[in-house]
Amino acid sequence: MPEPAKQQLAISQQFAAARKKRRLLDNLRAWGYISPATILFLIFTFVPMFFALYVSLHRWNLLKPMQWYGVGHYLDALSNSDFWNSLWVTAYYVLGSVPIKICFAILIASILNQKMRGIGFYRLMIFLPVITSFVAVSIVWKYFYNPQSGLFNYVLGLFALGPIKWLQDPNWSMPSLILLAVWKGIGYDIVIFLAGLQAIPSMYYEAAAIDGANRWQRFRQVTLPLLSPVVFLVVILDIINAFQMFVPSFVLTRNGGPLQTTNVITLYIYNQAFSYLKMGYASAISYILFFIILVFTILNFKLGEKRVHYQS
Amino acid sequence: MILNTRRTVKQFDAKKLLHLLLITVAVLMNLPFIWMISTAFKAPDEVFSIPPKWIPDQLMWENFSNMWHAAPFDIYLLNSLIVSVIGATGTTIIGALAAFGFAKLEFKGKNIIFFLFLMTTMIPLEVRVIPNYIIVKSFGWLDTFEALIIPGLASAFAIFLLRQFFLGIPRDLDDAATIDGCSRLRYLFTIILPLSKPALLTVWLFMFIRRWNSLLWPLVVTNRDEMRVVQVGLASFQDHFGVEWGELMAASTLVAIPIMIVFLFVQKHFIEGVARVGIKG
Repeated sequence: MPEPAKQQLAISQQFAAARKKRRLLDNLRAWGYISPATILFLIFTFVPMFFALYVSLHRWNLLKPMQWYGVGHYLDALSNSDFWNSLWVTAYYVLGSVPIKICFAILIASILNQKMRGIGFYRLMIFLPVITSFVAVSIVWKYFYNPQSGLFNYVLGLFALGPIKWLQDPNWSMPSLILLAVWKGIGYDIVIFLAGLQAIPSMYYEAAAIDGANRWQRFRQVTLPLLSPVVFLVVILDIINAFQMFVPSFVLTRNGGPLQTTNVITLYIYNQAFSYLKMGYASAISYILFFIILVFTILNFKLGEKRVHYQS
Repeated sequence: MILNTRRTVKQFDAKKLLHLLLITVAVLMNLPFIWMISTAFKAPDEVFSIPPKWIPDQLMWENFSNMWHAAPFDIYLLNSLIVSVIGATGTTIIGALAAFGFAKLEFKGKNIIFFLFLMTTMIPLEVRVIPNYIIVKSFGWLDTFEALIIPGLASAFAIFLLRQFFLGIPRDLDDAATIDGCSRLRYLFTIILPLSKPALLTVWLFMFIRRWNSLLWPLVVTNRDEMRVVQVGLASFQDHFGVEWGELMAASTLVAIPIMIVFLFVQKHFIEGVARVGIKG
């Protein structure tokens, strides 16, 4: 090999080595930026996920050493009527609150979606409950629901209706919590729907108007299909959130009363773990909750793929 | 001509009607707050008056002082302030660093790690609460600020929102900085972060509010009264003073109003941040 070519090869090899070193350094630097978040997620999210599974397979009250119990806790749960009750109560809450919230949110968002003054103000007013402490507003609503001096029974009384015992009546306790949840959370959905509506190009409406579509037809044929990806997303978020409801049951009806009618699954988990120290059993229930949420999410994705209209 | 005028009149009325409808909705949505503040100033006999009184005859400031003496709300407020400020600031810094890595740097495993980060939003707090309690307990952190602050410091929401914002900063700027020999860290601090003030503020406030309002985690990891945060304090106050509506509403006002005031200053960025994340999922 002639001398210059050899030199060239040596140089290019040097370059390659330098580049490799450089790439490694770049990688290390980049990992440096994401490492704080990664370590925190590892310790407080991913490790706990596996740890919870491990605990769920043992009997453990934090005081004595763990005892292997296999899938016993899962079987215990399936034959425990309190567990089934809390599951049904949670399902009632999810099915009761999410559809109402979605429907009213779409309605109010489409009312808000036009060029007029004060939109920012209305949006703010509707959003305020979202950012307010759930504990504080639960206490206010408890007062609303007071059978003797509450505002709701007063208003019903004006129409010669009621009185209803709201939180103390097993038939009304869950609807009461649903009403509170709709009020508390609807602003969030409205804001997202409003942004989704504003992203729909006005030419579609103009075209529909030229074709002689009336208001309802425009809503049905233009707005809904184009908004469907957003609706679909909000439904998932709402369902996941509703499954995790805790504060109202903890504050308003204290221990899930009356007659366990508001003993949602998270409150059940909380009490099993921290009142009775049944860490294994409570972990098993929380795993069941996790899988239910997972199934809902996957199901929604599958359904969504077929039904949702995506703008290309 | 006549047709035109009639049409404007009709439109004008429709607008008016719409405003009336929206004002009604706005008032109904805020009725609980009005009721909360009004009851906080009511004397015990007015609390149960029928028909309900919206404006008390005289302002019962005693409700606030009674509530203040009945439970150590000064400690609760201070604890919540410490946890919320440090927590929100920490989450924003950690989130900005990670978001910068994902938006502006290339490295192995980037996509899979980002996907894993997003996955964390699927794991509900209720599933993590028991193992996290055990982990925090094994660190000897029960009843400490460490337990209240550290486990929630990383937030996929914060990382996602900031990454979206950083991605919107033109690549030309990156290249210019590289050519000028600006280090990555300096580029982040002198160019990216100052350009991202609205996004950073949104994330900070979002995290502040989330911290301030959280109940379950502080409830689980604190036992001593000196370590309680406002939500836990308020919930236990409600347990002990269940029928003293004046005092209860005074306490609720104290817990709810500071957030609302802070929120009013930055609400526009905040609501738009929510909308942006919601839309882009």
